[in-house]
Amino acid sequence: VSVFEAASNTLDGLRRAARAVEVKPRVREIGRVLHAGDGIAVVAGLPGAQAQELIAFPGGVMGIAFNLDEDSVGCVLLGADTKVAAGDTVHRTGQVVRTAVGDSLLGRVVDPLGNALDGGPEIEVEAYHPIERDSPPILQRSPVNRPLAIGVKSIDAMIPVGRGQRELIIGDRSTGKTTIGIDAILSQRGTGVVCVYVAIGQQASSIARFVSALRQRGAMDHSVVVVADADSPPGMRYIAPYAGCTVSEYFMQRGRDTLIVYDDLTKHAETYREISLLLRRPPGREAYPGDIFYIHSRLLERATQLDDEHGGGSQTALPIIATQAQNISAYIPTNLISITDGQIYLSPVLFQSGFMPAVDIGTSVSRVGGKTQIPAMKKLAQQLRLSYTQFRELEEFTKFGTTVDPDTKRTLEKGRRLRELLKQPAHQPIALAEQALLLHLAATDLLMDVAVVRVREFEDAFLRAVRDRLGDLTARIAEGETLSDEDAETVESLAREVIERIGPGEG
Amino acid sequence: MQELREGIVDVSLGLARRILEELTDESVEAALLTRLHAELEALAQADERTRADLFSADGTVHVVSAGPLGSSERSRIEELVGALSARPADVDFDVDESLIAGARVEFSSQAVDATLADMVTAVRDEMAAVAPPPQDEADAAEEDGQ
Repeated sequence: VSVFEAASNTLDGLRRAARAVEVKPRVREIGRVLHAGDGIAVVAGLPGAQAQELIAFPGGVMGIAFNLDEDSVGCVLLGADTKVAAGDTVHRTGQVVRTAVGDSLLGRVVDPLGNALDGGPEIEVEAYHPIERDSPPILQRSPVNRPLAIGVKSIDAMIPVGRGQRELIIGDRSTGKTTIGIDAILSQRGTGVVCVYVAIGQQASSIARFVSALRQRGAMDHSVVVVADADSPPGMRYIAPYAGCTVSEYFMQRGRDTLIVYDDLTKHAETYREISLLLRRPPGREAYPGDIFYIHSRLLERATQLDDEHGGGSQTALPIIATQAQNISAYIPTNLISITDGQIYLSPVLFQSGFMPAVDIGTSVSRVGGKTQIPAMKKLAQQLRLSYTQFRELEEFTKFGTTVDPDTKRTLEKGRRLRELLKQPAHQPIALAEQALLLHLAATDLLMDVAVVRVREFEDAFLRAVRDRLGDLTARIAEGETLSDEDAETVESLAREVIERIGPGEG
Repeated sequence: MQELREGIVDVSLGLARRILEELTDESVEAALLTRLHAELEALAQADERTRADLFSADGTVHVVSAGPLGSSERSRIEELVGALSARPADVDFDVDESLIAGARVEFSSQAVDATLADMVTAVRDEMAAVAPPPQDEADAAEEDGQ
């Protein structure tokens, strides 16, 4: 739409409005603020207010009607509560909360209402969509059947995620949950997947760090960051995930694949508890209100793979949950585990022992992703999981200094190399096809010629060689081919060459 | 685009306000108050339930006017408000110059607004109602059609 068209539309609207308006007294529904503070306001009057309706307070502050009581309405404020005083007159808007959506949001950091927070130019908003929408009906959905690369070897091999899946990332504080979210977004560079990262109640400094990590690595141009930091009013923190979901849905409805990371829903649940307690809703277990399950289930139900008739777009959701003292059976974690299609569990024990990303393969599971793995990877994955688990058991057993037979020793040595291979530095995602080649090597005995401490060095050199010389093979694998015997031979000879070049090292 | 749209509306309505502020005199004030009386009389014809809903538990009614009201005008409004309620109503008066001219009677959940400022605002509200559907609604319609 050109500027001229927009201006003339507006003038037409004004002309019609001027004709339609009646110059006579108006009788309007009003309310009066009884008390306000802590991000909420209780308003008397407004008998016609509807649930979730936007209520206009003086000073441009908006509130959402949350509690509809017989003679008062409990509102959650979306602005500073200091601007609202008892006795203020408020009125209904007849609208629900909407957020800005569209291509112009890509590369931007916005608040849950779509206002720019990154100091960049004004966002040219294409449309405003309601933040709360029904999830796509069953008949519009199709099964999850395409992989979404997270770029982390241990996850893509053993806990694969498909497009349209909801996979929970769960673990104690500072075990690398956000890092996996960032890696997943970085991994979507050049794939056309639109990423939305929702930061809820986080410190502004960590959000700044996160945004600069994305920007430096060129991942911002396909991403939108929706921020309600720890400083935002509780209302903003509460609506942030729904707003982020609407932003991502816009792209899904247009046939695009999208990825959304909610970081984190523990803080979201706590925000909702805060609002509910202030509004005097009856507290339940751990003082959470009765509908705490529903606020997350309705959010995550919006993630899906649409069928071809509806554009074939998808929304993959990676909600993050922080546990305390590894208690994954606490209230909110168990809720989320039951809503999602699997979880990636990050263990502080593994983290402290230097196994990063600290994915606990035994406790993690993906309920639908297995069907989506690329064939070359699928062939390897099952064997890999089994042998890794066996190795972990053997290792535990031999910790007590038992002498072992040569066969067991060999299994242990191989396992140690596999474990080394599963380690991966932060923010360096690897393509699925390259991962498949690496894991193929782990299944052979080739790595036995490399010292455990030099596996990392071998991996780097091998990946460089693959990118130089086996570009067409990785392309074929990415398209769904399995590794033929001939291909396997090529890969193995390349690996031997690399091992020779870097030398065996100490071992 | 949104900004441009809001800009045009703001400037037009700002201009309307300026002109009204300049032109307002006693006759305008009187005309508005007459209309307010008529509206309150009409409200007295409403059924009992609607009338009861107008009053909060303490029965207070606020009247805000652009300029101070004379004592005869005050008693006229008190009388009209009193006719709406079975119990004696407590009416308090306040002045707010931003209303330009006229007065507003605020019950607990309804307000009867006979001010020029509100008539200007009415254009904005009307505009939201009659304006061509914004992009998002067109989208929603399209999705529903699917």
